Amino acid sequence: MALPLLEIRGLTVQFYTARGVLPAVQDVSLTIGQGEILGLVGESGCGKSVTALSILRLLPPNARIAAGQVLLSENGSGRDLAQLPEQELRSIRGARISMIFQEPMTALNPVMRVGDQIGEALLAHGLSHQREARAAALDTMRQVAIPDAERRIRQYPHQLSGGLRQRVMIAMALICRPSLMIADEPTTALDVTIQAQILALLAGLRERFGLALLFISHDLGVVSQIADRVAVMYAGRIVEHGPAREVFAAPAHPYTGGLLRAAPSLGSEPRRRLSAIEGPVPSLAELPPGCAFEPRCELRAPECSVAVPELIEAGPGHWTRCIRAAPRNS
Amino acid sequence: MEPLLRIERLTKHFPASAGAWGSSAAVHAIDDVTLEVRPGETLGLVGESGSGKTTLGRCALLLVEPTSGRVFFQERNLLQLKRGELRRMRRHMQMIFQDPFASLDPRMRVAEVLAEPFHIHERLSRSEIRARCRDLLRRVGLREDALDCYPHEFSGGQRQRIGIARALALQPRFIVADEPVSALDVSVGAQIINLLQDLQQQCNLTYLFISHSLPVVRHIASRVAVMYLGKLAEAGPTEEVLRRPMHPYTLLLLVSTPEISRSGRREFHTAPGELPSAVHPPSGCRFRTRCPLARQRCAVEEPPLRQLAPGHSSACHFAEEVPSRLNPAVFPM
Repeated sequence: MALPLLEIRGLTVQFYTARGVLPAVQDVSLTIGQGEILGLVGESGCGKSVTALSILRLLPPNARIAAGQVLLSENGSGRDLAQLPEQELRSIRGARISMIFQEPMTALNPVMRVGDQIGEALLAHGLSHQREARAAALDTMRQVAIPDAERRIRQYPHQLSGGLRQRVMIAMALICRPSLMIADEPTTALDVTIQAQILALLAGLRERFGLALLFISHDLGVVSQIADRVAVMYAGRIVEHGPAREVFAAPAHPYTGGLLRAAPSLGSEPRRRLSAIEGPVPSLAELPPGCAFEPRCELRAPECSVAVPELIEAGPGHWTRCIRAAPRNS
Repeated sequence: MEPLLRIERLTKHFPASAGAWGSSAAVHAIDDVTLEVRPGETLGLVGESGSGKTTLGRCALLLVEPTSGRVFFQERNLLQLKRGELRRMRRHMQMIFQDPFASLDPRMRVAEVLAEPFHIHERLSRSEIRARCRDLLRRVGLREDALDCYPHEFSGGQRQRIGIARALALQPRFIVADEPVSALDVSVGAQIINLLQDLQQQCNLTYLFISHSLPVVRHIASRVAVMYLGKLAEAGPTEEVLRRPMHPYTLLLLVSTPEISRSGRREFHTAPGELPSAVHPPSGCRFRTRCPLARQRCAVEEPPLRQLAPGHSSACHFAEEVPSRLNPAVFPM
């Protein structure tokens, strides 16, 4: 793996709600290398977005980072973003680590010209003056392949299509040349033909700028196409992580395998029935004592409900949180 | 076999206020679409947002009044039925919606949601209605004690089951399912797709299944119709259309769909540009602005839907030249 850029260690995030304290994220450890694309997958409520928001401490007021470190590598040493004073963190947000979201329409300011929104980060970080910011915005709009950028720079978000708005958001996140971009379901609201354009753009930006990406998605197909490594979350924990190729070719956790079998595809033999994962996702308020997937798991054994399994190595760099995981080549 | 539903030359324009002087314009949501749904089959209707597929589904049930065209259900033109006749017809034609959060009244208990169709269409005693509602819940895989709960007490998948139970209440023959699994997680969506297929068998149902997802449509639909900007681009048997697309737009959808890569190999194939405006659609072929095969003729002459193989038709002047899906290099990125 490339040199580590960001290392999350033992992250635990709790939400204070009317139903009690909910463990949204538990003991999550992840590493993103420089210029690497890490895919974070899982279904709604699994904690993937909360993990991402924790990195820049953008959590809602009722959430708290209860434990863990978020180490951003800087000249050989790591700074813990979880402990950094707000003022210092602000110099990192949007500059060294930026973020893009699912819904460009709600993430953009409707009454501000897109060119000004793109250049704003440069001004906010004191990296340039008004005129240079405008030139840089124009340049970045070209980098993200916004056609007719000279005209678009003066337009407002509502004058743009969904695909162009997503490009504007990527330009905003790119203008300070960050080392890491967090992309939270960046193509989920888009049609497939536009999704393919945005994926190709993100993959191209990584090549050109050595940008690392934390790519969050519920869509396994999308993640398999873009990620170098992948981590799968279920009910607040990482249940499997490893090189994307390994995880998709030989999933080592029954949940990953179940997800892969449940999704209809274009390439496989037609099937009469989809192999659905039966039962509902457990509520965070009533997690079972052992493995959270145990109630839905086809491989469950009595010992699965005793304690939360540790991550074990299923292959080189490929880890699974399952005691039933067969060692590779057996 | 006679089709259960036949849509003939259906057009739906919505008024769009364009220009500062209120000059009237129209959104061409559907233009001159003809298609059939046969008894017992699932017809998949695919296309991107703005293609007109949802409007078509609603026009098929006359939930939206078409601008012109005819809609035959069981060989009767729905547009000529009297109000009472149409209402009696409606019990045979139901709808399942995309958003299980928006399509259930949050102030109604499940028992009330499910009883409503019976109040409108049947004269049954309270206890009979209650018994029918219990039976409906059982058929969609929910527990009977769900009757006294409110929608917010259920997960998305469970709510979608309630929406399906409501659609089944009057034992319809035909159901329009508008993106019924798009808002659900993969593992739950698979459960719902299996349920819809089981119910189709048990109740002899016919589906018009609207979806943006080719893999989902491939799984559930025996025939598929592809829409682009209000027009039918291609229609035919699903496996044949996917194996040998005869419209460049179908090919574009196929190559843009991200399949799970198990080899680590990546490919992004797509066409530049986006869906043009439905207020001022391009002249000639509506897909020509994004089409790698487009020529002069495409801008001038609108391609008619032509039958190219039994039951397989395409609205492309150059349908015979559309490359195979295995050669997606026409859409490089």
